[in-house]
Amino acid sequence: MKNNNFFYEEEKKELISINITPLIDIVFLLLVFFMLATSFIQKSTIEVNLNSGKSQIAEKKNVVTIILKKNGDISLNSKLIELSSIKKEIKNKLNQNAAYIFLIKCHKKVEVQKIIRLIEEVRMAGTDKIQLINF
Amino acid sequence: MAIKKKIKQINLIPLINIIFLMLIFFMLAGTITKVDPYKINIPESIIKNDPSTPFLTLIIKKNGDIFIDSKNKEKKLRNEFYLEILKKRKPKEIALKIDADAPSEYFINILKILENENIKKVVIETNYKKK
Repeated sequence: MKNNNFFYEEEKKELISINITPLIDIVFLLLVFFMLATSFIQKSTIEVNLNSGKSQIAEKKNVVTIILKKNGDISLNSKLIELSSIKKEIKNKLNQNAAYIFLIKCHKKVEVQKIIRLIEEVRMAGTDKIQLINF
Repeated sequence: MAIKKKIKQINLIPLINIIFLMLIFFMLAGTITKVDPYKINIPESIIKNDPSTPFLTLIIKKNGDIFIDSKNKEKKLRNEFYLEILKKRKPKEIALKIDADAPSEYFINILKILENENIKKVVIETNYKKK
């Protein structure tokens, strides 16, 4: 009788334990998939409206010229300026006249990254009237 | 004998817990992105705008090569064909994926071409980076 009981308990123990190895395999696969397929880089966009203020530039009316040189130097109306202070300067200009249009003249070889940063600074000052040309 | 068996078994439950936590973290914190076949380094921006997805995307590489990527799966078209495609499809809005290190002449040239093709709005794709 005692022996029979012993075997019954052994059997019970085996039934209770669940094999979790396949579960771990699948969780590992899922983990590897998400680690490879996900990205933490947040995407953003900059909208550019073409044809804005073209006639104004042709008439040379209320145009503020920003020059972006090859080495990244920026000058606003022929005055050398830091990128960090351009927002303030543009705000001042807009307070004088809200109709100002900003003409960004950039060197042919200057990197796009620098133009994007400059456009952003001008946008943050509160204007959308930007035109780009090369020199 | 029983003691020996117990010693041999490794407790996997803490490992599974951590793997589950990592899995949940990657599922919630990350976003699944499409693999970019063009491998370009898009510019960084400090303004966060919602990424819109226009019908047509123009890809400009550092060396000036232009590709068209659209939802019609017509991929990897060389620069000679992109103007024809623009004329054929006449999109009102275009997304521009340009390499951050590309010279500005490519960027401004393409803006001029798009302007001539009567495209009103161009959306430049960037990576958002906090200041």
